[in-house]
Amino acid sequence: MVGVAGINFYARDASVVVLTADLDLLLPPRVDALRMALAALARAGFEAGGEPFIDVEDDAVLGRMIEHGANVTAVAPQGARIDLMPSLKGYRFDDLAGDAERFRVGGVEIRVGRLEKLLRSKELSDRPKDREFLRLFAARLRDEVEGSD
Amino acid sequence: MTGAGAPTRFAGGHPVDRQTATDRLALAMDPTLQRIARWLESRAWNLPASDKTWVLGAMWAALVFQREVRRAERVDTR
Repeated sequence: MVGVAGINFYARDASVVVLTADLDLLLPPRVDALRMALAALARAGFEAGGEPFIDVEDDAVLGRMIEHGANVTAVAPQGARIDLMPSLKGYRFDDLAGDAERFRVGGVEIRVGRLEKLLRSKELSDRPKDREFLRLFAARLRDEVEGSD
Repeated sequence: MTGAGAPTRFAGGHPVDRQTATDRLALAMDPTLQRIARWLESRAWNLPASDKTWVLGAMWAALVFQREVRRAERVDTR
């Protein structure tokens, strides 16, 4: 788990959770990993923008998607969105997976990228929405952190 | 010693020489953000294996709320 959703996993309580429309999942850049993720999402009722997923058994297609670094957006009928990402700005999968934090969701262990790296990736992305997110994130927590020192 | 198979010149040298690319990325980070990140990661609620089911619940509730607000804004109130 990466992105704003990943950053939310470090929040103290629901009052400081940031609204985001999607969950960003970073996958190892391998065909078998992408195939497994797409198959699991299809079984859970997710689709690709109103269409069924591409043929998840076609390794050539999956391989080209990884080669081009394409994100895959999966949408559930209820509106939940999951982005499968082959890379994250500034970090490879192994950079994040090596020291990812392990949390539990519904009895299942999930790995969330270290907060420092998720924030750094947003800095590196440097899009207007990333800059605004970081500005608000720092403004919200700066006083609390400095007051605790 | 030089040439193939020789230890790298910096092996075991100054710590800066042993930095990985990830370390160098962290060095360039805004210090306030870095301090906040390390502070949050060390809080009791972020211990390994903490139950974070509530995070997904909170994000989903916020999304549903936003969707309902948008829907309400379309209602003609004249």
